[in-house]
Parts: sequence; C-alpha cells; structure tokens
Amino acid sequence: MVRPPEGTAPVLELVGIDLHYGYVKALHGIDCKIRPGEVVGLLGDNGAGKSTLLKVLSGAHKPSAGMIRVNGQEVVFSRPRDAAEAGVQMVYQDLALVDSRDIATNLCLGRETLRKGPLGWLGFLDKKAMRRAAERELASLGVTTASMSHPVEMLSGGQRQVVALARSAMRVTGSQRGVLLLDEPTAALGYEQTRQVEELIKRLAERGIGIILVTHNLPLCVAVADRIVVLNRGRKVADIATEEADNDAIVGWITGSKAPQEQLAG
Amino acid sequence: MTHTSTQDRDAPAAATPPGAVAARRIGRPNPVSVLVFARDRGMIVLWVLMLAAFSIWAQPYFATFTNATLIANAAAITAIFAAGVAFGVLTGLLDLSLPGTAAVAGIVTGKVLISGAPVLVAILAGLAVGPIVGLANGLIVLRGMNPLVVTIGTLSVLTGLASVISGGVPVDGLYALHAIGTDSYFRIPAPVFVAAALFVVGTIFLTKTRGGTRMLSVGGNAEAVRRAGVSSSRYVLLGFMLVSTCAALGGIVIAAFVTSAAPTPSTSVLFEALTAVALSGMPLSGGRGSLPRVLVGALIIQTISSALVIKGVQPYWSTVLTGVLLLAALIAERSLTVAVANRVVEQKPAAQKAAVKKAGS
Amino acid sequence: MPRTHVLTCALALLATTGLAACGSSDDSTGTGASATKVTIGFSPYNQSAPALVGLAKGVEALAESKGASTLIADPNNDPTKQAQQIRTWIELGQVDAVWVLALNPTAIKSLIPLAQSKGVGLLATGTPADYGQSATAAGLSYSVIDYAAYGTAIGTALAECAKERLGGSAKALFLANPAGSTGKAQQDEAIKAALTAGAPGSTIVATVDNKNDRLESQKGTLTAIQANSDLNAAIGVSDESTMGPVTAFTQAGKDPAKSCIVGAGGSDEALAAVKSGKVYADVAIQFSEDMAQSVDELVRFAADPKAEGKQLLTPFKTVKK
Repeated sequence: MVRPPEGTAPVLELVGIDLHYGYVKALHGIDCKIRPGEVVGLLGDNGAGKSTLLKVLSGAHKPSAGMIRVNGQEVVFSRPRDAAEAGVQMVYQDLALVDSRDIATNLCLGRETLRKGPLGWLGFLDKKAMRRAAERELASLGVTTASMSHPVEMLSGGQRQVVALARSAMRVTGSQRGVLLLDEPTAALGYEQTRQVEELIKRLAERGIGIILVTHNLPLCVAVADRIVVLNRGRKVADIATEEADNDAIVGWITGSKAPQEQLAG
Repeated sequence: MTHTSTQDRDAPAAATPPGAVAARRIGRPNPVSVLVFARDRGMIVLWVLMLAAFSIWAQPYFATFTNATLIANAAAITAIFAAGVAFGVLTGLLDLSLPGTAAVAGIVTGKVLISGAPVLVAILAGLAVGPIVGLANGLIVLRGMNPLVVTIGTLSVLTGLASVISGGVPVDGLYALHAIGTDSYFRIPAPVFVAAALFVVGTIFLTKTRGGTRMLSVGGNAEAVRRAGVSSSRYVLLGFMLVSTCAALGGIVIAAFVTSAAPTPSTSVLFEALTAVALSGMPLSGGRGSLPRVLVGALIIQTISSALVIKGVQPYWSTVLTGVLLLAALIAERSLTVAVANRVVEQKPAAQKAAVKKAGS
Repeated sequence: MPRTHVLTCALALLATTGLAACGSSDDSTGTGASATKVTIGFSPYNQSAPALVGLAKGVEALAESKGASTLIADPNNDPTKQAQQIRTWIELGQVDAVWVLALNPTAIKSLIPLAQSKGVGLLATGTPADYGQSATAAGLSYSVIDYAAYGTAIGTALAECAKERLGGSAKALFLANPAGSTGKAQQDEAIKAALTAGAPGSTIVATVDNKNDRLESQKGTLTAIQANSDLNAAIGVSDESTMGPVTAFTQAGKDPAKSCIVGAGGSDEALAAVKSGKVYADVAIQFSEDMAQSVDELVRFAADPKAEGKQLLTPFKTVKK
C-alpha cells in the first residue's frame, strides 16, 4: 500500500455531515478526508451508518447539515447524477449490470462510441472501437478474459464484480482525480475471487483514485486499506492508519466496547 | 440474445503479464455450444421440419409457390404486429393497446383517402396515429403506473375513438391502397415487402445503433441504465412509440389488403402476435430476444394454419396445435437456458448459480 | 383529523347513492312512463355496433309516430347487465312493453314471471323453447330468424347464378360460420339442399371457417382457390364472409362478375357489390320491416298486456341486380 504523502490535497472531504430521518439522527457530525490514491476502509456494525454515509456521498440523500468538498470545491449533490459528474462513482452491491448484454456494452453504457461520418449521425455504433476500449480498460487493470462478446450473466461472481469496478473506474479516470465508493464488493464471493478483487482495488488506487471501501470482511480491509474509519451509531469512533490498528481494537470500536479514539484524524 | 455475429469460441487465453491478475478463461466446451445453438436456432429447425412434414401430408397443394406466397402474406400481417409486441417486450413493457391503435390508424387512413387526399398523405396520416398513441401511453406509464393496466385503458379509449371517427361504420372502397395491399411484386404479395422492410430496419436498429442498444439495456435492467447516467424514461417512451407505430402500420396494411377499414379492433390479431413472440422464446422480463426469430414464429403459426386449411381440418385443431407447440417451445427454451447456465457455472459457488438461473428467466 | 375523515366518508356515501340514482336513469333516454303516454323499452346487444345504433334510432322514431316514447338500454354485450336493466324498468313501472334482443335467453327467462305479474309485455328474440316455454303466451311474443328459410334463399340464389353464368355447374367454396353459431346446423343443411335441388350439377368443393372475420374470409378463400383452381363460386352467410371472397377472387385473377358469389347480411357495401355485379345476390335481412312489426307488437301489448302472444319471423329478401 503506497500511501500518498501527508500534505497532498484531499480528493474528497466531509465536514460535519449530519443526517436526520425525521426524529432519528442517522449521522452525527462526520468528518473525513480522503487523499488521491488512498484506500479508506469504512467499518461498522449493521445500522452504524455506513450505507447511509455512502448514500450521502453518492448523491442519493442530501445531508441535513455539513459540507462535502470534491478536489477542494464545495459541492451539493441533488441527485446521483450530480455526484457521478463530480467524479464520485458508486459501485452498488447489486452491481447494476445489464445481464443480457456483453462486457463491452456494459462498460460503455452511456458513453458509447459512434461511427464516424453520416452513419454516426444516425446513431450507428462503432462496436469494434467499443470492444477495443473495453479490452484496453480491463488490460490496464491487469484482467484478461477470453471474449468481450459474452453476456455478462455468464461470468463468475468475481468477474462480474471486476466488470462493475472497471465500469466505474473508467468514469473516474481522467484529469480530475475521482473517488470510488465500494459497497460490500466481496459479499458473495469465494476466497479466490476476493483475492482478485483485492488486487483490482490496489491497482485502482495506484492510478490515483480515492477509494472508500465498505465491508464486513476485516481481513480484506486490513489487506487493502491505508486507513480505517469506524462508525458506531452514526458517529465516527475511530480514524486510524491500518498499520497502527490491531484487530481487537477495531472490533472493540465496531461493537462499541472500546471507547472512541481520543485524537480523531480529520 | 440479439442476433449479433457468431459468438467467439475457445479463444486462447492471453499470456498473463507478470504480476497481473490471473483471469478465468471462458472456454466453450462443445456440449454448451450445441445447447446454445439449439436454444437460438431451434425454432428455425422446427419450422423447416414442419415444412417438410406438411409438404408430404398436404400434398400437392402445400409445397407450391402460390401457397408459399399465401403463407408469407398471412405471416407478414401477423409479423408486423408481432414486431410491435416485440419492441415492447424488449424494452420491458407489455402493451395491449395494439388492436385499438390499428383500428384507429386504419380508419384515419380510410377517411383521409375517401376525402380525396393522395394515397401517401392518407398513409402518413394513419401512421402518425402510432407515435401519438405511443407517446400518450409512455407519458402515463412514466408517472409510475403499470403498463398493462394503462394500455388496457387506452385500448378502451381507442376503441371508442375508432367508433366516433368512423361514425360506427366501416370505411369501404379503399382500392387506392393497392400498392401496399392487394398488389404483388414479382408474384410476391405487397404486405410481405412491408413486413420485410420493417424487420430489416428494426433488426439493424436494435443491434447496431446506440438507441437500440440502450433500449435493450433498459429492458434488461432499467436501474443499471439510470445509474450509468442515461435517461431510461427516454427509451421507455421510444419503446412505446415503436410499438404503436407498428400497430398503426399493421392496421393500414390490413385495411389495404381487405380494401376496408373496420372500427372494431381485432383481438385475434393481438393474440397471434403474442403467440409469435412467445414462440420465438423472447422472455417477458425484457432485454433479450431476436426480431428475426419473431418472424419465424409468425411463419410457424401461419404454416400450421395453411396446412390445416388445405386438409380441411377443423379450425380449432389449428388453435390447439399452436397452443401445444407454444407450450413445448417455452418448456424447451427454459430447459435449454438452464442447461447452458449450469454448464458454464460449474465451478461457481452455489449462490452465484442461483443468481444466474434467475437471470436466465 | 378523525372528524374530517368521517365527513369525507359521509360525502362519499352520499355521492355514490346520488350517482347510483343517476346511473339507473343514464341507461335510458327519454322520459319515464307516465299515466297518459305509452312507453316501450328496447334492449339490443349493445349501442356500439352501427347497425344497432341505427336500429335504436329507428325504433324511437317509429314509436314516436305511434304516440309512444322509448327507453333504450345499452347492456354492452353483458347478459347479466341486460337482465338487470330490464328488471329495473319493470319494477319501477317505467315501461309498458319491452323488445329485447337477448344476449342469453336464460338470463331473460327469469324475468318472465315478473313481467307477467306487472302486466309488461315482452317480445324476445328466439323461440319459446329457448326460454323454457312450450308456446307463446299472453303478453309473451318471440321473434326469430328462420335459419332454414335463410339458408334455402342463399342456396337457391347460388343455383340460379350457376344456371345463368356457369352452365349449371358451379364449384363452390362454402364460407361457413364457426362451430356453435346460432342456427348453423339448419342454415348449412338448407343451403346444401337448395343448391342440390336447384342445380344438380353444382357442388361444394371446399368449406372454410369464416371466423366472423373479413380478413380470415379473404385469406381462407385465397388458400381454397390455390387448392382448387377450378373454383368459380363462393357462398357467404354474413357481410364479412361475402365481401372477403369478392376481394380474394379479384386478387386470384378470377372476375367476380363472371363467377357466382352469393352472400347474406345486407350491408351497404354488399348491396353496392350486387349492383355492380360482383355479388350475384345478397340475402338481406329487412331491418326496417322487422323493426316495424316488432314495434307494432309492443304497442299492441301496451294497449292490452293480456293480448295473445305470437311467433314473429324476421323478414329477409334476396336482393339481385
């Protein structure tokens, strides 16, 4: 894990995020900074607020109070599209893949390549170009599959996860550093496939993409994350570099048996 | 699956660069290839077998050029409506207002023609009914209502409308529409050309254009499309408009063939169209299917009908036979899909297996 | 909040009752029965088929000319609704006599005792047997198409055409009604018998189901022609099965004016085809005559609810050029 130097400007910053559901306060004053290329593991028990925080970050929920900054600029997300355009891409647990279509179609969904010339005006696709772009993208992630033209439903769980990750990665790569939000990416995967996804996350981080990883899988978190943030009942109770944390402490923070960290890293 | 070029088989795995993630190779063992072939082209094989069987049973009249043109003609009319149903199902909707749109379109064309306008104007006027009805259907459904219920409602409205516009009487004497109705070119009836053109354009649209591919994706998983930043509503509207335009075209072609436009919608036409789509193995969940196979479905229905008429068998046997065939085709398609899925996911954990089985429906 | 809830419920109830009250009179046009003027009720299958709309208008006008007002029902092809509407009329004393084109005689059968007790005359389509009666009764008349006579007229017309145009030997396609159609057996038998009697050298070489549909009739004729290339005649038993063969013959290169297409139904299009020679003869139901005799029967019952019932026959006429 290559940590970005301390002084690097954060790609994503949360300041005092609150969220009320009627009388219930789901999030209390969450502060967090993510630097480009940093992988932050977001841990917590069920109901701790991890998914809620992801929803806020992905634009699905507006926070009741607080501020979000992307690359230093304050942003307000009215809907998921705004977040996506600002460079925050969420990879959902259900992957949101179109099972009946092939890898290339899924990867290029929404940004298909059209043919040059009059055929392009009529909307004709340049399928070869799309296929090449998809192959390029997967290759750069160190993944090769036999063919681009198989429907995605025929892939194994791990491969589908890879496709979903690759699709979101394609959208955050560019001049503007982006953030990927991963919601339980290895929940349904076996050991081997989890390792594959682990490698993929590292590779994406190497590109300079900030990654927030929500997971119940502690070993995975410890393996890929540079930092670990623990939520408990909507509050941040720990924000610590992975190498400084030990498993017992983490579990203690998650269950609430351990007191919140004194010096919470901003 | 849409009818794209043949799937790649057994492509050699690329040499994995050092340190790269070892990807699982998707091989194509022979049993799977056979099963996929059976699932995709089984209908055509069935039809060819039927032609051979009927040529012997209903000889000598069945296997003649004239009879072929009759089957093609009947299939063409069914196929135009079946294309409409197919566009809807592929987008993930079921539109039952087809017969109403067909009736209104036929009446509009008839009335405009009778009033003295040129043929092309009359046809365009009738065709215009399609996108209008489709837009109305789509806008209402996008407000969050069930397409089935909405289109049943619009069917009622259109039925009434057809009666009102026509004054309750059929519009007769539409001989001027002969170019797309009663004429034959190179001894092939005009409606066949209309249907052929529709299917060629439709297939190209679905498989080769951005609009088509997005529409299919919306049918497969509308949520995924939305999350990719594409407006799924736009493609729902497009789907509805395509359905109704096919219905309008069908209504006009029938009026041309029969030289009379009737204000009463024909539900039997919708039934045949649905059967053709179901025979083609298109899942009602949406997002996958092949337009050319729908055409084969329509041909199969009319082939059976033709043979039975020639042999003088009671008409209800035709219905029974079509129904039995439909059930057999659905069961076969389902077993083949599951068999393919099982073969490919041999090494997957059990959870994934279940997920793929569901995807195959 | 609970109080407004109750209020809304009360309002809804009121509205529903009000609408229901309006609803029962929605099905009827014209004024209710009054002591002075006679009111007759007319219940056809629906008010969407053009022929029935026209018929209803005709009944109204004719009744008016005889000093009676009319109530018209629209059962929209629902037999239960039809019975309900008539029951309402009789119970509320809105009508003096009713002419019903019964969608299902069994549903109307239950009304007979009520009608008799309230002195409301009933003219129903069919025969006494259809209604579980052995014969006509006081205040109870029936009106029926004599399917045998209908068929004979069609068969005779074809025989005549065969002799006139085809040297006595017609090879005919019979476009029969679907199985289960009313009167099909008598009609089909009569057609065949009349044809054989009038033109012994003529035969029915093929039969197709007309499915009560014009497109199906046309398609069926085309298929039959290519299986029997010497086909030179067609027998239709309705408007759809008459006009279908006309177009099909033309498409197949056979001139209808030189063939023998006979039909039935009496639509304007069919009668026009008779005039132009494409259809040799059309057995047309005489709607206005039928209407006149029916209205007369109703007026008769209105004057004397105990008048003896009759079995009326729907008149038809063979229309030739």
